Amino acid sequence: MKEDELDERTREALRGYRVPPAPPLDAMWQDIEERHFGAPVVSLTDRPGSGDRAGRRWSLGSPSWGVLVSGIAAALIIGIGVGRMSRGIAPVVPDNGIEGTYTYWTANAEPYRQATTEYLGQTVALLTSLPAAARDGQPDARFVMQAGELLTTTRLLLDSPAAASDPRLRNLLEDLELVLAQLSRLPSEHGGTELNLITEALEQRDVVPRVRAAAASISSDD
Amino acid sequence: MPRAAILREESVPLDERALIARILDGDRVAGRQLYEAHAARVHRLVYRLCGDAELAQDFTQDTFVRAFDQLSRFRGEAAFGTWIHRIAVTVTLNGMRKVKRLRERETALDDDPGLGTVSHRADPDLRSRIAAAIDALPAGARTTLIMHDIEGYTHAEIAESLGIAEGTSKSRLFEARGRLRQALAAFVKE
Repeated sequence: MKEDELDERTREALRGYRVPPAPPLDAMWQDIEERHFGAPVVSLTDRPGSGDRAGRRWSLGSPSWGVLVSGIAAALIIGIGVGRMSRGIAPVVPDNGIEGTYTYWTANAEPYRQATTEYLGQTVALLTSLPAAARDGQPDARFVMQAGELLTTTRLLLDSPAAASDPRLRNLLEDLELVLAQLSRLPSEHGGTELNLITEALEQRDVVPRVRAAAASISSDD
Repeated sequence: MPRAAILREESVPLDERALIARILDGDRVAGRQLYEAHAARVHRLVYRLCGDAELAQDFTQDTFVRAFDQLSRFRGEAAFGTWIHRIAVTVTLNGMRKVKRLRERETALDDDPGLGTVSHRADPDLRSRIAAAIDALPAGARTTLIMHDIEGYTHAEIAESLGIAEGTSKSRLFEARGRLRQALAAFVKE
């Protein structure tokens, strides 16, 4: 083997040295959150000493049907929206074994791609913080403010060529707009209950990992 | 203002100072945001250094817990990313020393000379031989090689992360590459 060829093959082999698996972000955060910030906040429906689960749910300040329906509807809408976003995306073989990449992002404007990636990342951060934000049964004012800020970004992106060029992205943004609008206008009364309902539904539908996958696919499509 | 400019403004990097201030106030949401911004890259580096998924998870967690616990000491002289990478490298190398000691003790008990040692047998596969050669490098040279040639850190970043001079980083890389070439010399002849 010639030296040039060896150098090239060495570089290739170096890239294949201990290829990392996908980082278990949620599992790691759970541990970090518990060790630094203290035990995760127990959701209202899981508080001990309040009877069985079903009984507890209905004993929490007796939220109105409107609150229940709007919370569940928001979660269902976003779940369906993200599903729509993910469905039909053909995964390609990962080039480095770290994570799959997807090929749906076709917008040619780099600023929009960057903005969308960051926006989705921040949205993931916000959505994964829902249980903590429900502390004391009321949404944190800062949390509500962040939801409002993300809502503004959502609307800017909805109005951008990026959304116009990709119907699936547009669908996702529209659905996120709805849920962020819900979160940014959480009432001071029963807000915690609504937040818990949204949280539960989001968890059941694995929404956060799927939004994260969408963010990863957009950011990796250089 | 043109739409693109608005989006540019919207997409500026996270204001880490503000996030750090909020974390110091006990804000979990801010903690998660800062974590999301750095966790994947930290985990990648840690995994490359230790080569074990469970250890990489543990070391990454320890890194962030230590960083959050010591956040009040973060002066902002370097970027938070540089600071947390420095913690990650320290946590990982210290953790690996402990694991190595434990494995050596287990090896003695099990009388298994192969465990925890690098195989020096000839291996026809270049990738395996490179992996073995990297594993056999001194810790400093190995860390520098992984950070520079595999993960793409600059010498300035490596120097900041490891608390060494840029020149030291360069000489360590030179040493690591030299040793690799030595280990692979047989392939040139083949």
